[in-house]
Amino acid sequence: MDLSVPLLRKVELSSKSFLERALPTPGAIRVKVGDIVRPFDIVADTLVNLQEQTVNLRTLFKIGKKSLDEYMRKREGEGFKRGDMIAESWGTLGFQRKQLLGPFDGVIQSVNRETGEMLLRTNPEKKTILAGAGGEVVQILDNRAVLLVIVAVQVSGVWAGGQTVEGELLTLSSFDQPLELAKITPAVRGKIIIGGSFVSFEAIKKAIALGALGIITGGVNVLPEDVFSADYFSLLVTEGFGSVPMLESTWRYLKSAEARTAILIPERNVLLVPENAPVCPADPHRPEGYFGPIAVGDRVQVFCWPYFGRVGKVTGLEPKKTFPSGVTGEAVKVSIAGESEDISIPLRNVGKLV
Amino acid sequence: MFLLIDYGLATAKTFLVDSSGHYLLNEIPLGFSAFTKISIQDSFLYILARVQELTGVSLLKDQKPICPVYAVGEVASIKLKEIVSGEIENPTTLLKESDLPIIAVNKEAALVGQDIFRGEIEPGAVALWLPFQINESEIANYQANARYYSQTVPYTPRDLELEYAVARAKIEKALEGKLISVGEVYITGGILTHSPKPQLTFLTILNGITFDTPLKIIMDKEQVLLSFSLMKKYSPSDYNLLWEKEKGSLSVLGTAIRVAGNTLVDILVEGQSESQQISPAPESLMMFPLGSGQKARIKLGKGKEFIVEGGTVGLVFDARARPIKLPVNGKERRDNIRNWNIACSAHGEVPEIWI
Repeated sequence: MDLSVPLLRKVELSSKSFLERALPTPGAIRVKVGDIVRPFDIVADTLVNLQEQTVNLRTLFKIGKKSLDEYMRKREGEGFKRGDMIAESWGTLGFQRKQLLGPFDGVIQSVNRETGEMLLRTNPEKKTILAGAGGEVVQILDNRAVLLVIVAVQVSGVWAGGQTVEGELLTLSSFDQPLELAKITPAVRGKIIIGGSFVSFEAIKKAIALGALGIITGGVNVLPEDVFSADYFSLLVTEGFGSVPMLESTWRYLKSAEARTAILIPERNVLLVPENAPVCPADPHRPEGYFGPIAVGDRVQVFCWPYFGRVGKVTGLEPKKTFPSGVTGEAVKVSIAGESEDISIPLRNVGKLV
Repeated sequence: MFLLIDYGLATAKTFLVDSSGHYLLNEIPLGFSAFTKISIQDSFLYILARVQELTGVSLLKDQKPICPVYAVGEVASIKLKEIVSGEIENPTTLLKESDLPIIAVNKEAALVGQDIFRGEIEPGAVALWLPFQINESEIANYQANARYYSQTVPYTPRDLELEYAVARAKIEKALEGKLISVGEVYITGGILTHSPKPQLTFLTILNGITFDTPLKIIMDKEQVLLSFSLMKKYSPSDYNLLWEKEKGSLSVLGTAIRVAGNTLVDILVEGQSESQQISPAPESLMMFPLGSGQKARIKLGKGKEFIVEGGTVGLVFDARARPIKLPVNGKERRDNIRNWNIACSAHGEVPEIWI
């Protein structure tokens, strides 16, 4: 029998992982193509305004259509310190004095003399972008980003949502247990949580509220599309939708990488854990390509209920088998831990773990 | 002769088509969209290389196809332009252009005659038509897993029922309540035609459509309609030859007949001397076994009389109002759906799909 199945590379050490390091606003790139960088090297920097505040002077001082100039103590474009007088008004006989004081160190960015709106902005601060991982600069994207090739362990998932985040890994669940709400404490701040078989919507919301940067889980219920849009947060689903145990080997790797910094990239459904090794020796036994032959003894992961996500060993191949649904097709017999007998699974519903 | 590749989300089927026939060279599962990061171009070359490996038919020279290739598929229509030498077609649109009365359901779309629906089905619309209790998040999860693990097939009876319920909803969405008043429809698309239970394919169609005249339902199990459609568009002079050659691969499931509840139906099977009478209750379905190739004269009460053809399923008398009224109470609704399932499963077979 010539049977091929998709090859699953759930955790893979790669010397060609691409990592984009982007500035929030255009700035200066401090490296050039071909440079070798270390994790804490600065690759780019820019000036950013972290805070803005709009104040309406006409509303604040109740000054109708009068000129703003007689109230303003600082002019458009002028800088101010926190607590400096920016504008003030005096009521009748000097009573009912009102003041606008600098809420931070900043500059008066603009004044709309008609509407009375004044835009205050913090002084620009320098924002530096570190390489985040050791690697080689392979591309500069204008004055906005640097593309690195790094050596990293790449953990692939089925689905991810949110935006790219970077933080330390923290284990809060076993591979076959759901992430419990009670385990999500203030300790998750700045961390990427390693979960298990399931994470509820409530647990995600709590993790976001407590400042977690991301969650890696085996399964999750289908979520509303805009659930992460407003937050600096990301979710990586490694196995599928519903309650699905995380592949134990994936979980064991993540657990071994606990407290290390990882980068979760939802656009690619991957988590990268940078490695220090400059080169990554290729595994000569790992098959190449997207599909590969299946044989007795291979480890496969099953993708149909009631065995969804479970791993077993192939004990036989069947060219024609009728399944409980009545559908007929090629099958693999799989020995799954905890099942009393081998199960015939449609060939199309398994992937080979490599 | 041309090569037709039906490049779906789950599998790619490769056909050689000319006036002498329609030959399936192979069907290759395309992996899981979640993990298999193979490019469309690479997978296309992989398909042709596998065809050669398995059949000995050489279709590639210097990594280029050697004869005009027509590819269809939602994915193909976007990404295969650099490789394919013939036109790239959307299968649903191509079937629509054939002007045949077709009902097609695949993972991407549903076609009913000239009406197409593309999009996701709300879990609530699926749950309503299932004969077992299920929460909507399970349906949403099932659909999402089916999307990311795209080549998988239904493993349990429950999976199969979910597939049918989604197909029914897609047909209903495509038709938007319009009346089908042609005498026959062709059913195509893997979800319906690869089904192990033709009775449920038949019932899925009836549950999704509104029709008035007797409706003969014909199954395109070999997926020859796509080749017919392509031939009609690109080689119309050969179309009739192909039709004559391949029409035998279309199999009649049977005929559906709308009746008012409690109508006395007189059925005289061709070759028999005595007729039989049935009287379907309001809001019920009733099956009459009439095998493939058999014909019968039907008389409804004192009114209409016509000849109908049987098939794998037989005759189904549908005494349900349109739109079909489902009980609000969940248990009653599920009971109704089970009863309709049983009614459509004559010849002693009762589907156990709600277990």
